[in-house]
Amino acid sequence: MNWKCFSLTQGYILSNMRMFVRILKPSGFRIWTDIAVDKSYMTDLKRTLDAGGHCVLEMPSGTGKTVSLLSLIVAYQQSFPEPRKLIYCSRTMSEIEKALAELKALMAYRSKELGYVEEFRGLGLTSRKNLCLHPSVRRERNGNVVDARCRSLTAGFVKEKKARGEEVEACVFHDNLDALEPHNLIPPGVYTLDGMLKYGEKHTQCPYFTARRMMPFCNVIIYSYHYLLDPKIAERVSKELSKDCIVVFDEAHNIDNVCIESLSIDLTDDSLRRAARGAQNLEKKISEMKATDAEKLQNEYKKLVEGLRDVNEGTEEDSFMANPVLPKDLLKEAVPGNIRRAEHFLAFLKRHMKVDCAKTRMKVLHVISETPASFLQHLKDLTFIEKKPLRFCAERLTSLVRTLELANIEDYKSLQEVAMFATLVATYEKGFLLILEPFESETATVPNPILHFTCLDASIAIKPVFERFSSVVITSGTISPLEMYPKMLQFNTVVQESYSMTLARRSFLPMIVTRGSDQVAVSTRFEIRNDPSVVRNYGSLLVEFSKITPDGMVVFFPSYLYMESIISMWQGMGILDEVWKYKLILVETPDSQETSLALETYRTACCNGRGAVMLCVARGKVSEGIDFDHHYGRTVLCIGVPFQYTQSRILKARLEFLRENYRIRENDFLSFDAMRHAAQCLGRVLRGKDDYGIMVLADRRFGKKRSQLPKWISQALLESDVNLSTDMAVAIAKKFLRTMAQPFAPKDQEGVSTWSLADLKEHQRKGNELQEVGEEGEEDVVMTNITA
Amino acid sequence: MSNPLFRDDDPLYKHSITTQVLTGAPPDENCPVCKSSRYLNPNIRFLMNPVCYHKMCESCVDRIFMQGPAPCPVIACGKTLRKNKFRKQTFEDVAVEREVDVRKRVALTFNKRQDDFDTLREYNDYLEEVEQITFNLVNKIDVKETEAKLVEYETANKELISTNAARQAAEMMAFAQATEAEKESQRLAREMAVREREEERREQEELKAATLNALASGDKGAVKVIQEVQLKRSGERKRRQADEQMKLKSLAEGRSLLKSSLLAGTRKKILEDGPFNPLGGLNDTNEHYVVQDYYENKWLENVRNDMAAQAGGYFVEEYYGRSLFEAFSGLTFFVDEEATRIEEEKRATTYTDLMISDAVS
Repeated sequence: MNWKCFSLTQGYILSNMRMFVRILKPSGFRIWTDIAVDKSYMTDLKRTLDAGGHCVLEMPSGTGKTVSLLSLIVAYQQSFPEPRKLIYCSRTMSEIEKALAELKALMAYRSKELGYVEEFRGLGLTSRKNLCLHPSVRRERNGNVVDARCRSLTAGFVKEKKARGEEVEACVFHDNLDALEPHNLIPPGVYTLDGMLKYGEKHTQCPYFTARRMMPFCNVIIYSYHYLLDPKIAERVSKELSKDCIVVFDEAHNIDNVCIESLSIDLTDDSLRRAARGAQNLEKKISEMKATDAEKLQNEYKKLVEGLRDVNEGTEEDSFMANPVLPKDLLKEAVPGNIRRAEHFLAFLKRHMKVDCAKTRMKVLHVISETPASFLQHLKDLTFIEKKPLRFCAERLTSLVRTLELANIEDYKSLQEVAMFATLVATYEKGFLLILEPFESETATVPNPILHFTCLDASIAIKPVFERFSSVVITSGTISPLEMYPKMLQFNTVVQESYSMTLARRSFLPMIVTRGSDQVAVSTRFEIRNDPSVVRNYGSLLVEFSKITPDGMVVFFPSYLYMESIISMWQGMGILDEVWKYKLILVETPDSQETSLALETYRTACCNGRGAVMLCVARGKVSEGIDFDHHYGRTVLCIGVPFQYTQSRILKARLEFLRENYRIRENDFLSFDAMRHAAQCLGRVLRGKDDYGIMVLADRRFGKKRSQLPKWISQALLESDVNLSTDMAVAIAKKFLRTMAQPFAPKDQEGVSTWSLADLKEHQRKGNELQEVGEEGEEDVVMTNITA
Repeated sequence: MSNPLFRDDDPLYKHSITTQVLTGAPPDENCPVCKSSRYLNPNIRFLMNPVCYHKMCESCVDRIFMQGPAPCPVIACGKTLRKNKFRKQTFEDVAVEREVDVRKRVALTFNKRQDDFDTLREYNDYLEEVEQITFNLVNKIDVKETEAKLVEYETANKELISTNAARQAAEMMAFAQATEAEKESQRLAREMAVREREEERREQEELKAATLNALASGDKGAVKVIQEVQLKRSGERKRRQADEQMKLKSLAEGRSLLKSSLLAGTRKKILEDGPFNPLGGLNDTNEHYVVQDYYENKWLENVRNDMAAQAGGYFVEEYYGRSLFEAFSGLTFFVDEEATRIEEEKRATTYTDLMISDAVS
């Protein structure tokens, strides 16, 4: 049975729709959806959609979260005459591609079951770099360069020039779009990113702009968080989406960091210098334009005097940059008089930069942190720069760049950053902090000042999303403790639920190792982490597990620094040689290319039976996006609690902010943050129902933090496996692996963790019997949730 | 180096380049007058005079301008400088230094605010005009006309300029105080958090000890009771702390409100001016009765008529007043009500005291 379907027509819940889930992944593996989980997941989701509120849901990874989410929402959409749009946000490009593939399969299955093809469009959007077809532009490696070059080929003034008969280079793929009907650039259907590229190639049309322009006409849009959260992008891309859209943030355990990053800016000496160069270029351009085409500048000036804005300014595809400020904070008035003239504005910008320079080059050797208000005051005292023109910096720069018709925009990247900084600092008083760090690290002696403008409040960036859209779903495999997110992001939930997993057998073994074989406590606490006894115990743990683990094994360290030091110490102790006998050793580095090479080698070694150990960092790239399913990861070893670097000024400021405003204590937040990363690491090995793996948490401090693990992990963590020494853990793991080695037919799962239609009907019948009694009560629950 | 202050053929500029070549030191590290550099004198400090913006070291300034005003030692400059005008350079770039000086001067004169105008458009036009004047002065375009404009405006708007300056000064003061207060409240909050943590830890320890004791004595019921009591206590503590937090927060909010109202220019007098009252406004006249001059009372008649009794300073009126006061005192006084009122008043005064200290400058 390759297909699996169920139609939930249960009572009051899903009466008016049919829903199908196809559970066949392209790889040919049969991934059994955990129906018991799914069903409650779906009912909760449905409740949220009906009630029109937000929800936070946690569901174990590898249980078909994406597909059940999509199938429910699509069924929900299609049951209405005017479907609500679904915006599905994921984190990385590979996840977007996966979701698109899943959606495609789902739609194919729906049409097979329904007997007709629905009028349905599902598109994914990613950066120009990934979607470009232009023969020379696509060869660029840097995303920014691709963006800039694309703009120089597709900007509005290029077209104008062409219309005037001037000789300009333009992009064929983009120009062909103009010949098509604007609401039907691509026929209905679901396109993966790859599919888009193929379609674009075939019809010579630009996939990126096709997707961008078709967004208002899509039923499902799948793209990255940033398109919705980052005000610099969101204003341009997601402005026209209607209020009743259903927004889903998948893999959202890091959403607060994304929010914060989208509003933070770092300025270095180098970037300021480049910005100064950009300003000089701009000055040159202005004087050129004055000589040749003074009328244009005059027109711009007139427009600014009148306080006119282009109607389509924000959504223009080729605009240089968008205002970094959230829509609600935008000042809707004319640009202040003292920066109306181009040369005045430029002088203003230069002066502003001089102050930033002065700040960074003051040769202060201590850290300064100040609020935006005091920074502005200082600015005013020093250079008579008022707050208001500063607020308009970004907007004015955009307008100037448009007027000057600049093509090579990458030169002005730093200038743009400075302008954004100016606008942000003048707009927000609360929840932001300026931190000037004169040295790169504690031990550095050569000053390399960085001016951080950091956002401390994650709720600022996401607030418009919650305000604008009626249903926002935040979901991930690991977002425990759930109540932290509504607190940090300042929203109210209708449903807030963590689901556990039903399994036919105990397919993963979480353990907490607190002592080495010699009974010395192991911990990566700063004071003792370089103790030879601790290092040796961690080493012997690694050796023992590499002996018994079949194929792949993943080890996570709390930081690169610690990983390096412990590896070199292991080398001295001869531990690595011992590991080498059983497994290949591969290491993650901050360089992404090196890491992907290491991963490739790792996969090969796992496939050919040599086996390998991947040493990674808990906050690195590997811990987030890479799956170690099946033989690619049988054991995950988490060495130490992955706390953040607590001496960082930015983190300290944020902790203080959280304590003062949301009453989240420093310790609570730090341990929450560490545990969500630990859980992310653990989740890497279990990617499906027929997968199995061992999860080892090796630190004494994990014992107390047990309750902060996601429900599905903490439920499987037996009381007897909590306080183990290395030898005990190895013995338990051996036993576990022996049971896992027993033949396990997919048939055994049926009826327990996967249900056929018959099983479901049976369950429904039972449910209905029960429900007849309790129906009214449950309705009440839903009602109270809505009112709450 | 395209510095608008120096032409390429400026001898000083040429000189600085040659010294750079000779000594290998960057030009901003040696004195163009006496040629000493930071290499020879690590404590060298450079000063400049906002008349010609030529830079020289401290010892040169002392040497040349000790006797009073003297011409600038830089060749082909010759402007008369005074020692007391010399100051340190704030910016690396002299051009910016000069621009800021010009701006300072212009801003002193053109200090109109948005509320001095009827429409935003007018204000923006005004801003542009000011910017144009500044720009001209900075870049030395039509200096004469611009200077004339400046003077003309100054004489025309003398009064407005001075009131606006006063307002600005008041704002600055309020801002400084507000920042100070904010820092203080932050410090308090931090301290409170530490205290809170401390208390919690202590409580936990106490509970542990008490439970252990109870267990040791083998009393299962006692353990339960201890835990319940502890739970209640910690709940209360949490509530209290939340209360305190709220207080601090509302204080901060009140402050910012006050600050914003001040900044908006609608400054109200917070303290009533009046003669000093040592009793703090306490009044001894009673609202329930009025003391009359004469009450009919037989046994008082004697005293009233007896000169000997009054000679010692006894007044019947005094007696009337006292007895009436005693009769009525406390009649409409309810202890509970009064207690809460006083509590509230006290709180209010501490709040306002703090706010006042912010505001009154």
